[in-house]
Amino acid sequence: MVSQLIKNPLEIMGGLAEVFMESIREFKRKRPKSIDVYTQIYNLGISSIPLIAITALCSGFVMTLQFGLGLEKYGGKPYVPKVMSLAIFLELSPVFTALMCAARVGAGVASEIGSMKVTQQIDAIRALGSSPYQKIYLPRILACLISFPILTLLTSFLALLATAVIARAELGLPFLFSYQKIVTTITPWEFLSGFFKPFGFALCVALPACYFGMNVSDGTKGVGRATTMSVVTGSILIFITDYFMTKIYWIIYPYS
Amino acid sequence: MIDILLEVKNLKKSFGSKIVHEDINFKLYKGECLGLLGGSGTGKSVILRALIGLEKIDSGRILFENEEIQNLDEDHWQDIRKKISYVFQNGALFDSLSVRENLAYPLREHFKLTETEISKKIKTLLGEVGLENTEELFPSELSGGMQKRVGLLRSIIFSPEIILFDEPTAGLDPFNTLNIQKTILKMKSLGFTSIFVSHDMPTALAVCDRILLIKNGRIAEEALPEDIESSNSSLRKFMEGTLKL
Repeated sequence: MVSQLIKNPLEIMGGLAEVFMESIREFKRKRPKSIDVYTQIYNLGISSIPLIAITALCSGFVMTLQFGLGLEKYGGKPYVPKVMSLAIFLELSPVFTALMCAARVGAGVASEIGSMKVTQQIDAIRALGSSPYQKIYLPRILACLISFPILTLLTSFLALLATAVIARAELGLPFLFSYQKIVTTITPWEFLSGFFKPFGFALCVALPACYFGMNVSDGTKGVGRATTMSVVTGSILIFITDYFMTKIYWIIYPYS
Repeated sequence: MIDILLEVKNLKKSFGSKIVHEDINFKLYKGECLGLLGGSGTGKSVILRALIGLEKIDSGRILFENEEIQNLDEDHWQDIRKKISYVFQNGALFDSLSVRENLAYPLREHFKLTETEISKKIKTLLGEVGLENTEELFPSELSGGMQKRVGLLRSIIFSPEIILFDEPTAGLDPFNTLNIQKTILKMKSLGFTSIFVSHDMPTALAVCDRILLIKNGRIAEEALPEDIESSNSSLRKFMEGTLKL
């Protein structure tokens, strides 16, 4: 039992590393077709916008309200836009976007690849002299790498907009005040911190989705298991990666 | 001298503790259709999958045009798979692509043809197997027999040297079975070399030049179709259903 607890995560990490290395090797060997990547950017990125938008707006509304009501007791209401902009750019936006994508994109990709495996479509791609990496895995990994940073920026923008709206409606802070506080608080370094995290998170979502999808066994039952494992592994990896990327950020830029 | 296109020597394959093949040996001559028969679970499909590198073998040698191919890496297998084609039992069509896109897939991957040339070729082939006006349909809109025929067309559209048929008539009604049979015979007359794996004895007798029987992980018997009925061989017993494999 204990040995399984150690063996399984190690096996998964080894598998993910193998998929990552093979993806790099295949990318160097031959670029996937642009149309395949564009299709996946639409399927995985653009189609995620409604979900991301609702998440961004709702989290912006709620967090502003919580901070506002909490800080009001100590006369800290004017700091709400400042606090919120830091929280949104550094943590909320990259992590929330990645988690929502792990649920939507990770599950979708794992089940799609898993179903293709079960119905021998992956074998058919190989039998027809093509590489599943070129046709299936790489376009999805690249689409995540391109989409996640853009989706994160969109989340940041919408969450800040929600902050300004609630700050005006519930806390009585003018729009212009919120805008000025947000603009003066976010430095280029903070902006970059929030912008670079999604690249790491994209791999945290795409690699498990491909790995679990391509290793499906036991038919449709296996597809369900792969989908669950993909979302769980992706979410855990996002939190672990977030810690290390934040740590690296603080080492490079210690606010001195 | 008749050319040997493919040769399997001492092929061994097991899954965990279950030994599927102990010692498989056979030759495939240019232009012939070789039948591989055997009961369920005797590993007929495993042999076909090994021949195009979809399954790794434990030991033995596979020679294609006198060159060993069993240990090739995936890049080199991709070159081999342009010459050896595999017809999947269930068609294995890409369900997100239309019939036209399924058939165009290998042409776009391996040839520099214009879209007009691709369309023309697809139309001609679909017409030949009675699937006119199905170009824009998706696999889910096709019957099992139609899916198999499209799968078969997709595997031969790029004119491979060898075609591996994995139970192409399984689960089909007599009319569709006959259609597949005619297609295979037509390809044979065009000079295609093939291996035919099936339980369907009438079709095997109709299309194969030689038939091998797999039993206990070995080639138990080899016979010509015309000799089977008159002999007292295992193949005849297998055909009559009196041989337990």
